Amino acid sequence: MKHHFEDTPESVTTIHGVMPTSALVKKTGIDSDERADMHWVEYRLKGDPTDTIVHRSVHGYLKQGLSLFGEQGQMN
Amino acid sequence: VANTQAICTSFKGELLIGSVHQLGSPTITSRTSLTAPTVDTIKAALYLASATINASTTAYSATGEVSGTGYTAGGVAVTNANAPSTSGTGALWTPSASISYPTVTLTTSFDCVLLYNSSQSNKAIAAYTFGAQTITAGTFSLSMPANTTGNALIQLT
Repeated sequence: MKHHFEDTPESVTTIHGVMPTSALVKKTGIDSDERADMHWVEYRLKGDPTDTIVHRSVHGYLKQGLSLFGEQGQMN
Repeated sequence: VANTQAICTSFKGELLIGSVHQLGSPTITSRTSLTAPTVDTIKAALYLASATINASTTAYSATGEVSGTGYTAGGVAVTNANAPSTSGTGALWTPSASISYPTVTLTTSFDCVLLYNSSQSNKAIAAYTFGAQTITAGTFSLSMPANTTGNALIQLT
């Protein structure tokens, strides 16, 4: 599956307002388990020694619906 | 404490009562009108990883709900255009679009979304869990599984 955030926009909203992604370092990943695949993207300021995340978005793909089972009782 | 994925037990009972939840497109008349089709508004609220949402949850509550910039208590409306359908011996329903919380900052980890019926006293429907996340000046969204047997968000088999 293609990463949801594979494409890089020209700009993103950050804690400092809208910034060009050329000024940011992008990192992506997927947290996956049996319930969902959570695709995330983080942006940090280039050269920022504090490594502060200025933008983080997540898109999840739910894998599991939930079922309820109907069972017929019997008349004695 | 932790959130646990489940169809809410109260919802199961309400299915047997009938005329409580009307999911999907407004194709039938309901308890609010004998002539005009109506459809309920389903909403999705996010809960902190420290909350306790599970099968025993009977209604939406702000207790344990996320809070932060751009997030409105109660969450967002779910696009509810898929009429419940049947397949084989089962029945199924899935929201017809992704659930999205745009431009939010949620700094405390959350791992659960509760679907509930805001047209019917916020009665709980089901809770879905996922790996804990935070959001910084970004968007949190959830894609729905296919509305098919074995995949649909709610299935009666």
